[in-house]
Amino acid sequence: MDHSYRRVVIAGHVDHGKSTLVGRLLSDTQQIFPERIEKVKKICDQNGKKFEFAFLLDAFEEEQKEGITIDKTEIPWVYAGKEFLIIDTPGHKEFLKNMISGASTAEAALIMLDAEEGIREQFKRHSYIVGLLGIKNIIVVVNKMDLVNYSEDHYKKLLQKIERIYSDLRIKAAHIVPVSAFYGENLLKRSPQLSWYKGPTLADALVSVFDKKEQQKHDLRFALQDVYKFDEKRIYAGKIESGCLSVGDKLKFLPSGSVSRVRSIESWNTASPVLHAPEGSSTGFTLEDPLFLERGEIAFHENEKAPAVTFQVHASLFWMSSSPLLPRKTYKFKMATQEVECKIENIFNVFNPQTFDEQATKDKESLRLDNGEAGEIIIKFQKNIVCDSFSDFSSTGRFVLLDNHRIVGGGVILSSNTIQVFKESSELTSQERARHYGHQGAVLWLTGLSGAGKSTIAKQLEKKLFHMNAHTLVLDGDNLRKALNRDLGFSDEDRKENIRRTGAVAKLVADSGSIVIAALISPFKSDRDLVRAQMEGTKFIEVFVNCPLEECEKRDTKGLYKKARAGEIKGFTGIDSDYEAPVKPELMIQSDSMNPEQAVDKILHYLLKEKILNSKAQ
Amino acid sequence: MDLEKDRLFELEQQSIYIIREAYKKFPKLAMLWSMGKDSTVMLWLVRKAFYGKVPFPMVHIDTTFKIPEMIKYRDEKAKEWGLNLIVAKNEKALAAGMNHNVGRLECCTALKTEALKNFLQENPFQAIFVAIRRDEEGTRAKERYFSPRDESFKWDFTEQPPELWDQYNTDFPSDVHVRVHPLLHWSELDIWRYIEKEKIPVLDLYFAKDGTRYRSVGCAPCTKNIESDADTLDKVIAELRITKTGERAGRAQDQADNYAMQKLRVKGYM
Repeated sequence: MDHSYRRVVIAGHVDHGKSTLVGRLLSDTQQIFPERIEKVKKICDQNGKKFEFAFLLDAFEEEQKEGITIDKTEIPWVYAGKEFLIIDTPGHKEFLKNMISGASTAEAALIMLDAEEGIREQFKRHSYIVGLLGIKNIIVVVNKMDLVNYSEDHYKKLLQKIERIYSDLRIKAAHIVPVSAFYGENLLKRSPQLSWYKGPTLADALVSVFDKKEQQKHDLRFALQDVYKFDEKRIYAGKIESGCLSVGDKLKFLPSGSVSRVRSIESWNTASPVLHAPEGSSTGFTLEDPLFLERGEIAFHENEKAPAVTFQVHASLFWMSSSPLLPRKTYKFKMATQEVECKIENIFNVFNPQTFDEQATKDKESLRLDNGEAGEIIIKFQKNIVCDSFSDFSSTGRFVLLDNHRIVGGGVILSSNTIQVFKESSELTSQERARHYGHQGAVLWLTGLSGAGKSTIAKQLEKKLFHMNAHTLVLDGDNLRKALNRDLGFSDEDRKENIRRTGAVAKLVADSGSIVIAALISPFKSDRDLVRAQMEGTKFIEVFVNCPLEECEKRDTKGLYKKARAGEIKGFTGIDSDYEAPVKPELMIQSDSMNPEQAVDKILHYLLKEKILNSKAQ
Repeated sequence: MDLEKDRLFELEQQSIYIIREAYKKFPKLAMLWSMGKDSTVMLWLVRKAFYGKVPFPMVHIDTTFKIPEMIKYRDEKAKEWGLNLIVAKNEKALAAGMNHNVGRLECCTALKTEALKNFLQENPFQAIFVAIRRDEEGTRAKERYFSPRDESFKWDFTEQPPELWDQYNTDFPSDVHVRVHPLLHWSELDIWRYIEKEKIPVLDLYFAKDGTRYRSVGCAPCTKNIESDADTLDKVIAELRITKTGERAGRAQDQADNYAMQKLRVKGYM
């Protein structure tokens, strides 16, 4: 959305210089009355304190009591002809609820970091929350450079640390700017002390992140809020969350599927009839056909990207209630003007901002989110909803959960493309099948680099199981790509879809009582976690086939590494695309020191131990 | 300046969205109208949201001490705009002789807060619109757009529900009373610029006559005018751009005590 005010949230650890920075920005651009600065200086003199720019903000608080009112939490600031609104975030105890309320509409974030003190817990916490809120323009302000002698070396070391943490959190900093807020260095003007820094000043960095071309789509999303019947007219009222609409436009409404053209856009107190309604409008229009539509419908242009209609989504969620988020409990889901009852199918990748557990995964058994925690969830709705992924459309991709009339969580939709296996009501139970076949159904998910030995192990394991009279099937990544997944390439998006489909097939077959062996590189942890989260009672065993890259590259059975090194293949895992090793796999096969027979034995041993295979089967 | 026009558009559209949300969610709904600039702008936005209609009653809590021009303006506009106007008073307190000489805070509590409370007890509106703004004073800055009150209309500002994006919490048990604040995000300057843009007819009291004007209007005994030559909208806006004093500096009840507004508002003051 094109905000006339550029909303910037400022966060960071308590003494890392938030107030000093804001005070300095205001006074260096003459946006604070000189009288006020004089007054604060006088107060400082009286109290025997040295004047600091941070006191300018504290002074607001004092003056507030005298009746001069400045909303301390939202401070307007003008620079280079552009208006910014700097949103100050409150103290850390109530951080989550209040910070999120204040910052949820920000489009950019300044995250302060004290160069001398280094990275502290809150830096990570705030960064994480900002990322979760979908604020993509993040500027890290490395403050107090004066205290580290403006050392480039020191800055570079911090830079590395920041980049490592951010890559873990899957967020990116647009700029990492070294400054001294206290001396006003590198805020508006370059500092000779920091001449080694070639990037933009803080102010220019701020301007530039807003000038950047938006990634978001601007296809129409109109959320129907209400239908008014005034003077024989049927007016469809609502908000244009994205895109725009004009008289004569053909609109399609979902989930109803109704289609009609806009006859008129309603207006009041305008000089001439309104023919066009821009993004952000709370508008109202009549249609050529008097459609019966209910609040919650989403309209779009049929020739543009359609939203998804789905009964299940994969989302990130932050939790803000003292009673925990629990699976199977019913919550109210609210997005744009839609309100639907929902249940949480699964919770995974839990992150606790208080402890900041870098591994981010709690025990797989503890399915809950406590106050202040965030995680990924699968939500199942009582009826279909219309939505987009948050990365495409922010306002039809973000939602709140309500419990007992209160907003208890906020989240963003990562994907509406989940496994979505309909459970056919079968007359057979999994126990009956297990008794009949002599073993349980399960999914063995073999992940690892190309050349690590996944396919070899899978095939040998299949043979061994078959000779034990077990029902089994190998789903091999390479083979699947020849048929079921032949439309997919190797972009992150396509890899995700490849894994989703394989996961769905694996689950179906495992539910028929078979032991499915899926062998896929599946390089991203989040994709594997998502498959696991959707197994709904089907046994899922993640097997990490671990072999160092050098060894895989030496083997290079298919000659792919050579091609990748030569640049003939792009996005090859291990070369120019990451492999994220499993954190807590059920099994690890060290395939550089173990031969395939030993690997198969280790897996069989596990299946027996977990009573998936019956010991009699041997 | 285009930038300012954009900002007014954004403020206006968000307020209309909030007004429509409340109208959809609360079948028993009313709006407080004090005839001041803020609640008059809010009333204007209602007419915009519903294309000239005002589909719920306007309530004036009358202390009987209002500046006479205000009452004249109220009755004129009610007729012109086809309003369903309800005037409510705390008759009991008035009969007992309540006035500002008894004490400013006591008078405000009895003739405004109590009057409103009594009115809502007799008329079961689940939600009322109130035209407060965050930049008016400290406690209002902490408000939410949809702000629940308990049965005695108390405001628990320490345990407020979060408000995320434009997902306002409009979901309340039927016994909870809700204050809806569609203008929360507007500044005093925004209000005046919007009045100018929309040519909204506001009280003459806001414009200077013989070197003084009212910046904020209320009860005659407790509202002071300020020294000013701003006799047109342009001049009022120009004056506001350079002012260094607060909007409510002329309102005596605020100054009665350092925490006067906080005390009044916790009890249910607007």
